[in-house]
This record gives sequence, structure tokens and C-alpha cells, in this order.
Amino acid sequence: MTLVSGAEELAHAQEPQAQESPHEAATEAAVAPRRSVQDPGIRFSGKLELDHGFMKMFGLPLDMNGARAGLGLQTKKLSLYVLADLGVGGLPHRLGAAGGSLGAEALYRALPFLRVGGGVRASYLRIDRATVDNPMTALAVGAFLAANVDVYDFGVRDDHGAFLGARLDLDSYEGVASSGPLVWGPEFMVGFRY
Amino acid sequence: MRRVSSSLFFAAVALVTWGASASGFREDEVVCEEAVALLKNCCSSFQPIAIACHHERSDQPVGCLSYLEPRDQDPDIDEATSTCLRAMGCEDLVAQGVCERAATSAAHAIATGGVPQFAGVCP
Repeated sequence: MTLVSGAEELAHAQEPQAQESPHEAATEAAVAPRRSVQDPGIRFSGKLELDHGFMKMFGLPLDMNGARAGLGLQTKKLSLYVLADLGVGGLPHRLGAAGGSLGAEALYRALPFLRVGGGVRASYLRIDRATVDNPMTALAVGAFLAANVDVYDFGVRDDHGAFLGARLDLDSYEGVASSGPLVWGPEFMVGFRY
Repeated sequence: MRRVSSSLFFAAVALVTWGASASGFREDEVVCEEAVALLKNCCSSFQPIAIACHHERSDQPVGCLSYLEPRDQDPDIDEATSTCLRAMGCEDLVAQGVCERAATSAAHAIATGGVPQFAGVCP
């Protein structure tokens, strides 16, 4: 009896361990992909934005509507993009304006839903004339600060998503026989990042 | 991804192409054009045909008979007049006779081939 009960106790004592082994294995299997997700691996990323800018030029309001595409790399904390955008808009009395830019942007994921950063860009702007058909045109170099707030995210890293954003732009345009105007102002955007 | 790459490429090409033709901005030209656009929108009888908002300056002789003096032409509507016009709404431009004076000045310039005088147009 003593031997039998000893054997039973031993079996009982081992039973939980025998039951835990498959459980632990399952747990490890579930955890394994998360460990790889937490790796700060680099991957390609792209994004599209629609924006509206409230710019100022020579003290005149210059409103622009634009679309922007970005292609770049993303890690868990950082994202780097090459950006291209096109925009149309105008001065208050319907002098049309159109332009585009090519630049680079770096964003830091300060919070799971918040990215902040900035970038530089080269821009082109055309403003129609009211007197003749030949428009005024100029090139610029500029910089901007940006912040994006994710309103919906998905993906294993939660780094794909739709976002709302704001930017503060400052562009120095070429002038004629002098330094050109500083065109600056905020812009607001909706975007999708993959 | 390929589509985005193509878009970036075409944007770069467009920027370089546009940049080759860029001439730069001048404040006096931009505010003059804005004032003319305002008058066009608010004043039905205003004809902007004779008005020039270009700033031209040339120290170089253009032809064999034009070597004596440099040319320096400012926009027809100066910055002070433009600021005054832009501060007024369409109703004020009509009610205070600004539209009428501007239209008369422009029509006179068209008829005589001269430069329109806008200095006294804005009250």
C-alpha cells in the first residue's frame, strides 16, 4: 500500500507538469510571433495624404488644396519618406495658383498613436496673372514640422492606418533681383499609411 | 508600391521641367495682379487690357537705337493703391466710384495707347 500510494502521489505530482508542458508549448508558440513583431525591423511603407494649406505670401492669403504621396521605410519608432505633392489653389480674388514639391520627411513615433517630425523640400509655384496669360513662377527651398495622429490603425505592429495631420510649412522662393518671398502657413491633412 | 514610385519619378521630372522656366516673384507684381483681379471681379465695365503688372528693368541696349538709357518700368498699380483697393469690398468699390474711375482710366489708356493712371483711383 505504501509503495502504491507513493507511486500514486508521484504520479499526481507529475501530472500537473505533464499537463503544463503542452500548455507552455502553446503559449510559447503564441508568444513567438509577438517577439518577432517587437523587433525593430525595417520595412517598406507608403502613404497618401490630402491636404489644405492656409499659406501667406507677401501678406496675402494663399489657399492650396493638395495631394501627396510618400514612399519610404518604417521601423517601430521611426519612419522616413520621400514625398511628392501637387496642389492647386489661389489668392483671394481668384488668381489661380498651382504647384508641386519633392522632399523628404522623418517622423518619430512618440506615442502609439502620435508621430512627430519634420522635413525639407524643393517646391515650384505658379501664380496666374490677371493682366496677361503668362504666369509668375518660382522655385523654393523649404522646411516643415509635422504631426500625425492615428485615428484608425491595423496590422501586426499597428503601424498601418488612417491619420489626421497638421504641418507648418516655410518656403523661401526665389525673387527677381532680390531675395524672394517667404511663403509660410499651416496645413491640415487626412492620410492613409501602409 | 510601383505606382507610388512612378508618381515620385514624374513629380521629380515635372519639378525640374517647371524649374527651368521659373522666373521668380516680385511683391509689386503680385499685389498689382491681385488688385487687377479684384477690379475684374467687382467692376463689370473694367477692361484690364491696357494694364501691365510687369516690373521691367534693363540696363542693356536692346537694339541699335535703344542704347542710350536704361528702362525701368514699374507695375501700373503701385503697392499703396493695391493695398487700398484690396481693403475695400466689391460694394464699396462700386458705391465710392472706384470702379468707374478705374474703368475710365483703363479705357483712356486703351484709346490713347498710353499708361493707365491709377494713383487717384482709390479714395
